[in-house]
Amino acid sequence: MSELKERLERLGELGTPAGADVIWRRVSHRLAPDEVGSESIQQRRDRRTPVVVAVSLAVVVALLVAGVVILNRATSGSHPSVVAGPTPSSTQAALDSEHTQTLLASTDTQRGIEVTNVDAGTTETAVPGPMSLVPCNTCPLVRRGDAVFFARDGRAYVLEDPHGSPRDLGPASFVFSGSDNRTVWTATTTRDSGAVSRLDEHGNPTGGPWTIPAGYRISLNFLPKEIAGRILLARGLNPPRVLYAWGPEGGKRMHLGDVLFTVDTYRRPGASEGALAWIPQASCRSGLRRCALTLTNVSAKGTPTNKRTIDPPGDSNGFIGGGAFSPDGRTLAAFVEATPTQQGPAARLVLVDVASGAVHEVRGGQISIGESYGFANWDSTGRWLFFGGFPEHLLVHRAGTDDAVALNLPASYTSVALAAPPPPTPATTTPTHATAATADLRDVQNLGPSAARRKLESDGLTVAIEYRTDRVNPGRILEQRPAPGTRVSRGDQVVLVVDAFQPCGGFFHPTALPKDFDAKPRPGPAPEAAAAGVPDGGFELHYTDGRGRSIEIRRPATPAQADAGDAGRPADAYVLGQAVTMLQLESGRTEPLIARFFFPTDQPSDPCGSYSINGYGVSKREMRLFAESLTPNP
Amino acid sequence: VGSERLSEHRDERLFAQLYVPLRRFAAVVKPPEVDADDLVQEALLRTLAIRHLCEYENPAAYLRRTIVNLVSNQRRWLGRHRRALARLTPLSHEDAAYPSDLQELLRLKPLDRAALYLAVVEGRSYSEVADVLGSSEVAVRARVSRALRRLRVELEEEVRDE
Repeated sequence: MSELKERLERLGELGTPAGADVIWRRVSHRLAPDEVGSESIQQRRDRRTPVVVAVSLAVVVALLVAGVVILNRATSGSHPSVVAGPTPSSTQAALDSEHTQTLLASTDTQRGIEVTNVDAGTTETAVPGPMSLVPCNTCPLVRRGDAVFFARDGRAYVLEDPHGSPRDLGPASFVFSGSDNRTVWTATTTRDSGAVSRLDEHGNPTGGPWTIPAGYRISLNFLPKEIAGRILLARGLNPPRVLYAWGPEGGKRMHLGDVLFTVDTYRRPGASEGALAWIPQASCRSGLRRCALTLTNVSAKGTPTNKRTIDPPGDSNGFIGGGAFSPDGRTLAAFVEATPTQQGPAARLVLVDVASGAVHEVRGGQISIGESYGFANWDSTGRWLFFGGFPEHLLVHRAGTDDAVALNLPASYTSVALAAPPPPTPATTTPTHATAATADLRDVQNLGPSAARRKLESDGLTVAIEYRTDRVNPGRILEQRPAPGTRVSRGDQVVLVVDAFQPCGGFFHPTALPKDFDAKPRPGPAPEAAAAGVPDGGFELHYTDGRGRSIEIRRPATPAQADAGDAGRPADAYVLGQAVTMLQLESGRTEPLIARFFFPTDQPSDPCGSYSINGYGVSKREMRLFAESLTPNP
Repeated sequence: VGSERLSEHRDERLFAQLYVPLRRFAAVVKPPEVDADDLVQEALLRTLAIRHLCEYENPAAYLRRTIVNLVSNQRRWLGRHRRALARLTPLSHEDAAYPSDLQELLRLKPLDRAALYLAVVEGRSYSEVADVLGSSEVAVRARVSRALRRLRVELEEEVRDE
């Protein structure tokens, strides 16, 4: 019984509590009187009569469904995230006005370890080659402070000074980083067996060696990773490989699923749980195409939680391997497969906001790749992201901008960014616009982010946006730093915190669609044939807007089904309880169905709407594709 | 107005005291798709919509009961959703299985988990558990007994596997 009690207690501790104050604030906000002449909660309480209660029950049932949807949406994002950085308008402008202060270290079997000063454009050899990097010649170097850990010729080393000599740490086939950005792991592997050991950030042993269980191995196809004290292991030599998170100290293995690629792992220092970004095979559609990214929380004990799937941008062929979490864990740099170029396969860099799952494209972030893998490495401040593919081609992106530029500098899959000494201070020149004019910072709280940004930028200030899901004032500025009224000068930065909570519906499985449904719209078949292709004798399209109001459209049974005795359901559409015209799929129709069911309300561009086909949640784009696939081409 | 504010202040303090055990209870009974805090929030919202928390005879029990009701309703809805999903998307994304030592507990019905948690962890009597679950004491005894039997079977299988 004590074991059962312990398990029940552990189950009760799963997840991160939001806190009583946060819950209270949310509930108070929802119970507050509406703006448009609504009654207070007390008035509502006072007039509760049995009759009202009975009527309310029906409403409660409807609210519950909406509530579930909202609750579910809420589970996918509950901690702050930063998606937009500050100042510069473009990466090139940032390169022109700032210094990256970065040394980029990389290894090569012939050239050895080279260190490139990104600002100066100079490259020095820190450890001369040739060197054997077998079995992992693409394993990234590991950065800890200013030191670099690497393995060569079967031994691990730490290079604490690019101009010094590396210190021997003992036998190792390769080294890899701990997800907390503090620990360093070494692995010694042979064909059939292996062991791992743990080091601290100075290279001192802190655990191991632990023998990898028989039949499992650290897969070098998707690079060695650690997450919350567990090592990612693969079982099976050929795809599909099964991914496990193995705890060396306890010996337990956590089954994660069939895996195509891993992207990266991240754990806040001191946290017991970390995030794993990976691409499960089950996330792909149409064979191994259009694979989605999955973020899974993994802890040292217990079950993986908060598994979230992030769809690739609509015009890409899906996520591929490689990428890196930013140092604060809020942004994930990842790659999506792009249309192949004349040079071969290609990929594009995207930035994923970990809290909200939003995917941001980076202009100019296209790279060539050999295998479906890119490399990405943030500098320690999280301002600069260096990335590339194969043939080796280094690009850089400045956080806060939306583009990337190519650098004519060497780099490889092994590259790691180190802090460079500050460059000599140039003679100070005063920009014409920065004439130390000061003013009181205006109050932009409760404005939308665009309006707030416009106002502040017109005052000569720069703006950084952060997102927090407080559910207090969705889409509005919750907080500004510094506070309104503070004395500021032109060019100063103001941080705006936006309430990112979307008070609208969502479904649990936004990718659920009938087979072959992600095909691009094509000239449609005859309407009858299109309708006959819809499963279950017709379809039901359901749209719920951001306020929980819904429209339901039912397609009658096909003529064939009608012939078979099914008279067909009425083709009804309801908007807020009122019937509207339903577009029939009659012969010769050229008008797209989409026009009728998408925006019939007073919110033509409602970003919070949710859609479903036959009861399944789908994205707006998928709904559009569905509609278009039923539409004969004019 | 003054009395209303006083009641709200008392409610807030009372909820702060109730929150931690309530959140644990929600984490135990919730379906996998739902966040425990959201469940607590919804229960609180519904409870406050009727009257002040401090006006309930036993607010902790009422909130637990509301959580159980919410889970029961959601379970029906989620069941339909999952069945529909499985029927129409044979090739699309499926959740991977995550074997762990909590898996057997997660396979129990939410109400079974609730009964076990209240009886085993919180040490409540069967009549108190029956109040929370809205069933009779006899039914609760049977529920707990069935759940324990099922857990024993699964734990034995786990031991055999190891």
